[in-house]
Amino acid sequence: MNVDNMAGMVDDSTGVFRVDRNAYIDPTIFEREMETIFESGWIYVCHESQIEKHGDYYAARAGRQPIFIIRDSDGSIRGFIDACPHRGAVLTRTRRGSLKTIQCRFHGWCFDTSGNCTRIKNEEGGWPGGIDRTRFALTPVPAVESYKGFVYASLSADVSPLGDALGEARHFIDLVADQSPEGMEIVPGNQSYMINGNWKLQAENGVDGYHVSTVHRVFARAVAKREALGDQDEMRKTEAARINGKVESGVYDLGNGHMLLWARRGNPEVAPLAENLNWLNRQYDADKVDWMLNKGRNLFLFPNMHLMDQSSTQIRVTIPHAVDRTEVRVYCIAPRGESRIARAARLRKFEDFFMVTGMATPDDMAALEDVQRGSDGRLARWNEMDRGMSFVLIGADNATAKIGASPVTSNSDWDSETLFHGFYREWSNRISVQGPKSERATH
Amino acid sequence: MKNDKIKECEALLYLEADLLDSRKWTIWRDLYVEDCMIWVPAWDTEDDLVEDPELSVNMIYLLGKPAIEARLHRIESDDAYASLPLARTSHSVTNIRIVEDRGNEVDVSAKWTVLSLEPRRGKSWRGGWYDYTLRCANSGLMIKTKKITLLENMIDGTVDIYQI
Repeated sequence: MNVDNMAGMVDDSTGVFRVDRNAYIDPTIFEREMETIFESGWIYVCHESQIEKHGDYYAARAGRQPIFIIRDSDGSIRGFIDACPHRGAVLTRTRRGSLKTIQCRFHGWCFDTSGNCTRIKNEEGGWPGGIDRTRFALTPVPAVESYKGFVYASLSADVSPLGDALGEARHFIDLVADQSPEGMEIVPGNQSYMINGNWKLQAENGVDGYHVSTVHRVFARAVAKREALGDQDEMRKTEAARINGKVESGVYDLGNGHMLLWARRGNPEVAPLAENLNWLNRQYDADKVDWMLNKGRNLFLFPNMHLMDQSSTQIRVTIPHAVDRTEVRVYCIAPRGESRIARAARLRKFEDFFMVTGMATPDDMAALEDVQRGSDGRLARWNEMDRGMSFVLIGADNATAKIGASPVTSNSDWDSETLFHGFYREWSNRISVQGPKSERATH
Repeated sequence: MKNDKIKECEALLYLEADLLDSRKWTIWRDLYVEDCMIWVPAWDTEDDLVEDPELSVNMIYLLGKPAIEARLHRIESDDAYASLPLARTSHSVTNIRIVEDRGNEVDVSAKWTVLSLEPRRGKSWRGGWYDYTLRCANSGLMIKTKKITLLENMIDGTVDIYQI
């Protein structure tokens, strides 16, 4: 597809909102997304607790490019292209590790954590006029910033400050980041899985309330059966209430492509965080504590991260590999210093729902892969995301106003699809040559 | 005597594999004692599995039969998106060895491979290690704990309890 036509892939011109299914299957669109989204704007890389000490590194991808983030000797966080300046070998050995001297395993050249070349093997001879080590510093990732422990990188220096780019989403990041006097940490153990589907479908799925009562009703029943058979351990009790019944909920276009969904929790008193309630009440006003504890939240941060805080707490990182191949890495994020019983309960609920070996995520993946397969039916062109347009609010609703957040749109029913509109508008703007389009193509 | 014990262990492991492949879920479940555990640890790094299942993320950590029942409910319900249609599987269990025989309990290790044919995604071939603790009951050996090490930390597709 010619890049000039990409703005026409989102159609909101006739009282509907629909996305061309080509967006999920066309490799030229994928290449364009890599170039204009993943390789030229902020992407989430890791949590600071994963790189605490000098030399601790975390290897990642920014679009198609290998990078790593490393803690420098002065405590700052740096990012580099993960390739030796000499002949290009990847420098990291494992996904995470610790190296104060980064030695390339191909020809033995060495680099410090500031990216300086510190050793060239057999340096003394063979180079006409000698060799200048300063020519061989690692190529820095142009922008690395962190917000409340969440580390972001951009392969373009031409980006807004991270705080501005996160914008209104910061209110909802804070609801996770501020949960403990000791900060948050990533729990040992993680999982990656590969989906035969487009990354945007994964972005949607994590904040789609509309599928829950169909795709996950079996989860609710399975958990109910377990509890009926005697597995009643209080804090471990999985909160399935919101899957089954109508509960108070909301969905939001937060701007810049960020999206939020929440639903009232069935029994927040058994939430692992409840043990911090006294501290939370001393620290924050009642509305913030209400949001933290009683409103289960799925937050999507454009373009590659979900931050979930409902029955358990999860960071879900999306790594696109091809137009129809998407890797997802999942981590449990938890308050440091929580009790053993709360930590164990948090983890069991995490395994129940969030693992691809669990009882819910496999069903999400199957549904998503069916959408991918269905998108090959080229003759049927559009994915419709209209539900909720008749009762969408421009700006904040009461719930978000209480914590001072200003979404672009609010909707009081999680069976609404209006939050996706912001995501796809941001996506469309980013892949379009001339930036935001006021007029959309007609058909 | 020793010879009989290993044969008894082998017979149980082969039976379990066959019950899973033939989808005889209830008979399979009854191989386990009430306070059983099925543990599939997650990898923490390229080299190390998580060590403490209570305080780590696990791929699967089922304590007691109600937890197994919940998994079976998903498989049998015809309502789990990923389990309709179910994958066809073939378990191969080899290298069965008694690690320690304490009389009333015996630790057994083995290697496994499972060929899984998933209608949605095609063929997958997974493998790893089994570490069992079997309990010697009057009626014969039963499974007390089963640790399943899955070699993959990047799972292409989905994995349910009957596919490992």
